[in-house]
Amino acid sequence: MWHKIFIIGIIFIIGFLQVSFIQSLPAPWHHVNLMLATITFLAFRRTAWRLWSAALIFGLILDLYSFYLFGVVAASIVFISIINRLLYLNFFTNRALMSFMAMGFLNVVAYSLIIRLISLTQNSYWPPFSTVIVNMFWSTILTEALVIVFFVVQQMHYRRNQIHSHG
Amino acid sequence: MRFPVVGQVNSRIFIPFAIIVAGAILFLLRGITILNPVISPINKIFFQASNVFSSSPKDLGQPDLALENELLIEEVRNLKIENAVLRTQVEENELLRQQLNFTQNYQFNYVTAAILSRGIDRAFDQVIIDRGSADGIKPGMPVIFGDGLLLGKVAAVQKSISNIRLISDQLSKVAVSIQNNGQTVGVLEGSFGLSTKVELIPGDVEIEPGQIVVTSGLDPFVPAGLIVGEIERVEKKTNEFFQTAYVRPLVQLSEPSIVSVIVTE
Repeated sequence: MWHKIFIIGIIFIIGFLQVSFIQSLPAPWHHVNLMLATITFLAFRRTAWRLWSAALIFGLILDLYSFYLFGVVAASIVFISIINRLLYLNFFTNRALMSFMAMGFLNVVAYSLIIRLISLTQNSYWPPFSTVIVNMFWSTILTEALVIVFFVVQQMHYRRNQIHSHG
Repeated sequence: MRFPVVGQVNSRIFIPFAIIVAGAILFLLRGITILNPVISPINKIFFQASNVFSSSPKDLGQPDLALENELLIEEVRNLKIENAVLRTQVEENELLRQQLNFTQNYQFNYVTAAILSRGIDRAFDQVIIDRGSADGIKPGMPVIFGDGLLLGKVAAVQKSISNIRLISDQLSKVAVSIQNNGQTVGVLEGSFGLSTKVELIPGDVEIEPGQIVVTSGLDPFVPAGLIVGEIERVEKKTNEFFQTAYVRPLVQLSEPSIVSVIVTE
């Protein structure tokens, strides 16, 4: 019980960190997407409750600070998470680093395009192609870096536990 | 490269991470009045920390020169503001002389607000503030920093938060006048958060770098005389009827953490 509350608390904190802190950093650091990196990481867990919790909480936090129709961003994040889970169960089953990175890349591209489409319907504005590509490039590079960090931490944690159990 | 799934999350991994993000939560909650005595000192630390991110590399290691430079920039900015205010007042005096029954009152109602976020879509140059329609804020109202420096206009409101479109945003349009001999009027437009410019100025109008740009008062809710910036350069091609003036804001638009919304009827 406490374990689940702790995890949900961490998910909330990651959400607010993304919206209030990372988004306010100077370029190119504001392109880091901690939420998508977390969703990519959680998609590879055996049980999916963390993924669904994270998708819903991240979506609602983003909706709180967006001026798009309430629920649109949350629905997008949940949709991306469902696709993530399907990809994990059917294609990226080996949980290799490359699978993590491929999933991270797909997430960044999908999220960027969905946000642009939502913005197009609400603001009737689509930024120049070069701007979209540059933003997507930085977002991919920095978010993938975060995905790699998560993967390495997970590996180190597992190896340490293995050493302790054998020792 | 395979790894088995770990059933339990080790809290030791998350503790340093949780401490860092808890700081960010406090940063977010700074607009809540009841927490102010606790939050304000932490805010100062965060603000100084954010200055590290935004300071140029040449400032590092030369604290005295950097400080002196900062003070001089501040002084120049204040003088420009004073100059612009005086020029606006001179013009107003002339108008007042012509219209004896007219009295201009600058006692606006202000709503002070804290910036919560830069919004979820960084393709736009915008900020989210912690005041909304419950505080009397409406779309189109001007948002200022310090002593009348225009940051942007309210683009959308909810009950307790508002979305501010900064003047550098590509969708931003503000009616302005340039403080030259003819008080040239135009529309200031943003350019992808990088610059602001006034286009379609007739080619025969004399504009020079350093001239101050203020709001013209032609926008609904936006009073005349709010300082927008100064002319940085003028682009005038031969055989063209119009020229473009690039305007440099007198305040770095990402700098403020507290702003004011001018609430007018």
